[in-house]
Amino acid sequence: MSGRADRIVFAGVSKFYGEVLGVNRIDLEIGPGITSLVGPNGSGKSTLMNLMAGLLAPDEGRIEVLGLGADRPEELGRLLGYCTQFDSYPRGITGWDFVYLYLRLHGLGRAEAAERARAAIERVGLTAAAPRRIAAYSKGMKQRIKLAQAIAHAPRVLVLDEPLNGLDPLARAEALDLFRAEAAAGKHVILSSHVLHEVDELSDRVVLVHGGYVVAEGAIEGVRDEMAAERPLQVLVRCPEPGRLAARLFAEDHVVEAQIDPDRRGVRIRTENAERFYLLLNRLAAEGAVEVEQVLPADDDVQSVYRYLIGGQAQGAS
Amino acid sequence: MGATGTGGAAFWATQVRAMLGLELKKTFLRARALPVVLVALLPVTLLALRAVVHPISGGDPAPAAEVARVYGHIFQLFFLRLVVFFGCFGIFTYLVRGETSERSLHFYLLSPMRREVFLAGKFVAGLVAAGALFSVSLALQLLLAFVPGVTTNGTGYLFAGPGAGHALAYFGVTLLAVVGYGALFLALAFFFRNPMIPAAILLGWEWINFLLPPVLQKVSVIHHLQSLCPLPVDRGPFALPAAPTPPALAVPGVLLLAALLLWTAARRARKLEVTYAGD
Repeated sequence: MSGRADRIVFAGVSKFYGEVLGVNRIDLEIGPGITSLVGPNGSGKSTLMNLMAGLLAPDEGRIEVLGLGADRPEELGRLLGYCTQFDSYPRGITGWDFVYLYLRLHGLGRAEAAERARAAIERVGLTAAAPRRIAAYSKGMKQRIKLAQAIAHAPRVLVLDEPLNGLDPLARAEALDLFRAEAAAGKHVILSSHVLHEVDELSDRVVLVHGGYVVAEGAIEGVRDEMAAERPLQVLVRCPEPGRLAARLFAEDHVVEAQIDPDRRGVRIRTENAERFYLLLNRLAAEGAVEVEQVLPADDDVQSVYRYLIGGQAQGAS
Repeated sequence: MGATGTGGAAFWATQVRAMLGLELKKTFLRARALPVVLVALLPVTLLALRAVVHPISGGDPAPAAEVARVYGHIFQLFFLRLVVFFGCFGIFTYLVRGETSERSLHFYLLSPMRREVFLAGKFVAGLVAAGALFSVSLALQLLLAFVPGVTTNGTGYLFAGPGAGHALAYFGVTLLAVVGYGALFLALAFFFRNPMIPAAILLGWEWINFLLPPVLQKVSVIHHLQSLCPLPVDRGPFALPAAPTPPALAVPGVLLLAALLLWTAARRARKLEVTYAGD
């Protein structure tokens, strides 16, 4: 147990809603930093998050959050903050009360709860709107007040279900900064998002979820490497003589495709062995056999990985 | 680590107080509470009409003892059996079902709160709201029943005579009814998605209570409550006589039943999940 005291662990977890599959046989360990759950609607991301937060109980398997069973809400609530996807609030409640009363439910005294509520609301930039009823908030403001509630008690684990939905670009940038700051403080930040390029930039690791199963997990590059045998890596090499480079690379058995770019300023190469390819390219450049201007991983981002894994549905998710 | 909190009675009391404040704001001090308030004020309205109409129609004031006897019937057959029953149904079932219908249950379940404390908070909030509402209703009823001009020496009877003891007993019975029916309906709300059907069955059971064999009569809340009422009422020619339960048994009996129901509901609450789509 002690080795898992800094991890969120899913061990053989399944959850069904009646006969409908939520998630199935999930084995997953999540450490500190930013972890993104990526998948289309209905893939099981929110179910995983609700299980993590103790809002759902697994039908099979076991969940531990920093060594704590998810079936102990009285302790779990202290170390976990959850910005849910539910867009519903206690009737008639103001933004201030939403955060303040939540802190009171943590057993805090009035003064401390008020101080923490003020700080959290200020952090998400909603101080002026706090006395107003949430029902009158815009979508983005609702997202921000939920975020304030999630961070108000300074949890060690922050679970954020589609936290960027409805945020304008400025608020989105501020939210991303907030997530990075929380992760930099050694916390676990687990978020789900359909904004794949933002997840790509933000995440230390990704968990790709589809149809209730985890289909891949790890650092973006790691996930990509795991798949290389099944799906070759694609690299774009910018160079003044793409034909020459393509001809040279075709001689290698790990290169399955070399396609000259339409602008004739580069070659798109698909290889089954990234390491051998990069060694070769370095050698050719060092020998002066080819002139290399730029090397770009053409599909090393989450969206490409995701598209590989679950096909056309990734388009809808992006 | 996050917020402080060590568990224990003081911590739980703070949580219950916080819940109470929130529940009063979001549930009871709102327009949606109006139907329950109107139900609670039904007997007040009827007695107010009598207080206005009786002098106008030239009727003589009724003797206080006679009014007390009639009010005993109103209290037991109308206020207790219908008004408090339905009022508690509305208040206590909404405390739980309202959270799922308004999709706000996660607000509580994400806090570091034992599910038993969640249940206790809901129960206390219901007790405060229902207790206050029905106590005010009862006080108004008594004042209107014994108002001068309608009842001979009504105020003397109510404040200096035997009426004072009766009034205290009525307040006690009303609060005990809120405890008993409140626990019952809160438990039903945890077990049934639509508690209306079991509540209707329960109403039927409570309503035909006087027709049941004496042993079965005691398996009800109303029998114990009526046993505590200061004045007996005529239950009709078909009623089967059953000895009233002594107060020393009736009060602990209802409290014990409430505790048992809350314990059962608490076990259920431990398994509470947020699955709004299914509700």
